[in-house]
Amino acid sequence: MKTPPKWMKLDNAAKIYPAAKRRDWAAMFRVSANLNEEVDPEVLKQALQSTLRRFPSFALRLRRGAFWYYLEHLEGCPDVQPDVNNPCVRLIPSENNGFSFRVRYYRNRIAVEIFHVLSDGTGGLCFLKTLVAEYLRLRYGADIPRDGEILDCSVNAPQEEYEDGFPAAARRFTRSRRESDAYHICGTDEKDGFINITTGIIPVSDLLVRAREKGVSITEYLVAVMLLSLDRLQRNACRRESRLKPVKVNVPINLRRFFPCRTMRNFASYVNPGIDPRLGSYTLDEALKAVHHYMGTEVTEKMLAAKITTNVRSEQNPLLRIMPLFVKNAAMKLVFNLVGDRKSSTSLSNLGAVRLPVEMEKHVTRMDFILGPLSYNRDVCAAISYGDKLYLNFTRTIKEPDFEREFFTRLVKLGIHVKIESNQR
Amino acid sequence: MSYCVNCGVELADSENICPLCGTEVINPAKPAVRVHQYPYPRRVETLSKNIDKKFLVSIAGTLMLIPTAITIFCDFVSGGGISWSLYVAGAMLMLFTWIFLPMLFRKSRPWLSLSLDSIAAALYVGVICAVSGGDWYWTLGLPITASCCGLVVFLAVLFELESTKGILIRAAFVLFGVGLLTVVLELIINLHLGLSLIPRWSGYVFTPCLLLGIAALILRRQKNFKEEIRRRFYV
Repeated sequence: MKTPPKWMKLDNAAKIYPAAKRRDWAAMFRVSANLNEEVDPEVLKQALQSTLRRFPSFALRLRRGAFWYYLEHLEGCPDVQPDVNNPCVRLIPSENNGFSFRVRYYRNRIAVEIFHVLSDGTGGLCFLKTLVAEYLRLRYGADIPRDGEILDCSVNAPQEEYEDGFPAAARRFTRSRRESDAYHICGTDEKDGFINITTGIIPVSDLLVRAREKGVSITEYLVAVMLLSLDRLQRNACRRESRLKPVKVNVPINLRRFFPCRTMRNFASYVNPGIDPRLGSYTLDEALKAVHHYMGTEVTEKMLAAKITTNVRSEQNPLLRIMPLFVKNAAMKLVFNLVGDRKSSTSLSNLGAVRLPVEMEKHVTRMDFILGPLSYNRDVCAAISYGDKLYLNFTRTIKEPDFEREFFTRLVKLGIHVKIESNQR
Repeated sequence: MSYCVNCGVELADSENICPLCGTEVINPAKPAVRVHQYPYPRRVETLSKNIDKKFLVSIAGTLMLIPTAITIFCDFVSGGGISWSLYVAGAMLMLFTWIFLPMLFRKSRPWLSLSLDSIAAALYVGVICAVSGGDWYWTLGLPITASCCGLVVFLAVLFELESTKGILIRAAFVLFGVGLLTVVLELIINLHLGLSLIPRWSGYVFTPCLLLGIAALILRRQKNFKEEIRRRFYV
């Protein structure tokens, strides 16, 4: 097995994040696991050291080249930090031994916060699972079977785990990125970049019954309820029907399901299912149908490949490539501001159901997935399910919790039990 | 196990009020037993928002040195001495004092930075006079610069006061100041030219300024009239 390279290029999806980041904001996300006992930071540090050896695509420092950013291999290990009230605040690498991710603990929780330039949700979850498995091995001597998702830290990483999956998935034909702008949730800014986290805990069985009744998946069901909530918010805020904008939810798609790729770096795309409120008020069944069929046509290997091809082609554009980094940054920032979050009203990133081996399951009581605040959308949601619970984490940078309230009360009215907790002070 | 009476959701034990609607949780079955198992610690992470101003000032200063050095060099090479390039050097120094020097202050100190600006302006006028070989600096250039700057510094100090909040009173003081300044300017010019000291043309400026200023002060006390103006001219 080859030793990992001293430096690597950013993958196709990661290229936008360093350009789009600001002094007080960068695209971050966080995955965490709760154990049945309090976390020992010393053991966690050791576990992190051995996990990091297995994940060469995480032991990287972001550097500026003349034409592109690049990632340079970094020795050492970030410090394990106590958790804070407002997770996913922008990470300053120089305060974190140069690393672009951090590991935090609070009581019995281990959390990993990752700058999107390194990996996507799936890669991050794999890192967390391996970290927790290593922690349990060191702390309790647990013998946890290693597979494709909980990696074996005694071997070196194969090359396919740190390669860019996008170019291989690209084909000949591209698709237009053109899309209509969407409605945005407005509100009063939180002071000092505070981030509100509201967690809704829902029994998966409840939700599964409801979704199966309608013949849709859990994600589609949640998206439809979200669309109706957004529609209500917009109608409350806007009197004239002609001024209404489409409401759309950005749903990231894990491409590993469609393409044979085992990378631990970014390998995700997205779709924006939505409804147009100018056409009239949708019922839940209509919204479900709209979402289900949209996802049916968009979330296919062919459509996603065309989308990937568009992005890979723009990256290969010779004119863009020879532009110096500072010009490129300005251009990419502009593109990001014009097409980024503008095309959706919120996000629902669903990592799906986490299954752990029995040896690990008895120690892990809960898993969470939190999106960092987005640059333009003020209230976004991330979902993960573990055991019989679905954990929906809303990340909000405005004071008003109107969207969450509308969404969760809708679920309650549909007969789904919701338990709420938050980071409110 | 408590439910929000307003939203119908179950609330975790850590929640004193419903995070969705702000309704207080009152559960008679569980009076005031608070389990302090918050899902998140209390410590809030903040990002420092300070830009390194010293760095910015040093970069700007270095950048401004480039045109200055080039003009001095050209001047020296072409004329064998340094003459006209002093205009550029002086202007750069003045710009630096006006824009970048205040950034080095910890707090905003308007009167101090304005005084420094005035000194820089007076020096630059002096440089122009010296390089162009004029004899007008002490009798005309310096007094005019001093009186203009004096007015600006005076207004800056005045506007710091709590009693001068409001656009009308400030407008009144600006008008009085401009009126007085014209009179002083005429006096200075007349002195320089050796003419009679009785002001003439400055009266045309001083009178309307005085009257408009008084009108502004009167308007300030008329609440209804102000309201009327606002109603009729709102945009």
